[in-house]
Amino acid sequence: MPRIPLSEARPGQRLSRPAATRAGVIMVQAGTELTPALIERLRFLGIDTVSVHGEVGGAGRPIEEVLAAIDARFAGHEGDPWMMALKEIVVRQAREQGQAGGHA
Amino acid sequence: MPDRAALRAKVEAITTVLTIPAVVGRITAMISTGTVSAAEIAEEIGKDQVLAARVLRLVNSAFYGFRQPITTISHAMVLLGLDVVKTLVMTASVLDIVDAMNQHMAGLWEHSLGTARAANALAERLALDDPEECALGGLLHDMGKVVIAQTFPAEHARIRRMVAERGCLQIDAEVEVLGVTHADVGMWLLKKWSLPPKIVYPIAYHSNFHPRRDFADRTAIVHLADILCRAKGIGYPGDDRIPKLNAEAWGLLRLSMSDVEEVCAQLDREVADGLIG
Repeated sequence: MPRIPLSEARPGQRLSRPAATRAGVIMVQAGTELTPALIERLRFLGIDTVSVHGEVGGAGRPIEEVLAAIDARFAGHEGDPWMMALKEIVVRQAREQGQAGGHA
Repeated sequence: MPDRAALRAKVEAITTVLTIPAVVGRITAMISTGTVSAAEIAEEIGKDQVLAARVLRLVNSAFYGFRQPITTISHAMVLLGLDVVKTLVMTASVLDIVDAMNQHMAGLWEHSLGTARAANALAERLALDDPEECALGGLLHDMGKVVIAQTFPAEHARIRRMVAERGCLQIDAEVEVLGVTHADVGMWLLKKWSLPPKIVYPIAYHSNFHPRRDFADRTAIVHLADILCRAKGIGYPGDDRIPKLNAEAWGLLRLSMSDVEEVCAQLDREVADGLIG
């Protein structure tokens, strides 16, 4: 999930999203494992950021952490029925995704 | 606090300080004559390869994702309409908004993309005529944040410190430090470029909705799309809070919570597919 500068990408990391050029043309599919040669080729193509699997961001975060972040975001809206209804939706979807394999 | 008129003059000067490609002037002149075809305008934009590439990057990220890559300006013009492409050309001609967002505020680009996708989904659900123009509003609703960061770096640093210390909304810190908001700043630029109100208003008033203002439906959509993206935690808009929903905006849209739920689920799918981010 985290999107990182290509300069910080390391061999062995796996792409969580396709690597695409600025025009949006996919060069490498999600799931591909980065190698030194592949990182070099992506740099050559002018791709400066990639998304890799990891602990930052949504994917792979424990559900407790995701729910705590949702609580924090909605802090102060406890008296607002619409905002609480939205929170219920967001919490439900986060739980479903947690069960579906940790992809946020 | 800085003087509002002085701030505005400095923002408007961006257009003249940075090199505006001659192509923008030519396109504007062509459009004002009203006799040129979309193909002729597309050909003119295509002459500036860097500009065309930036525009296509925005088009492919925000409107159609990777499913159906758009590789020519004329194709973009057909699918998105002249006003959307013109706005993207003007914006891309003064700043590489993707790089600028990534540089000044990590996550702002993802938040903008998510808001564009949410606005598009809401507009389609409401069967509005121009969902692409609503998506554009979502994409650029926070462009003023980048302009503030680039044009007023000292004030931007104070705003960021204030958000970190108080945990407040970025927009509240902007008002305290600058006396104006990122929405004002974005509006100044868009107006300076003579873009039509249907494009300017949703960006200018996304956090200050009024039901009797023109294009209230589009403005309400961008306001709601921003809130949904923040609620879902997509990207980072500059703070970790969610602004209060404007009840009149919600009332105007006549949506149900199940509509909201479906749009949120669609955002999840697009994040998983790599369309957002």
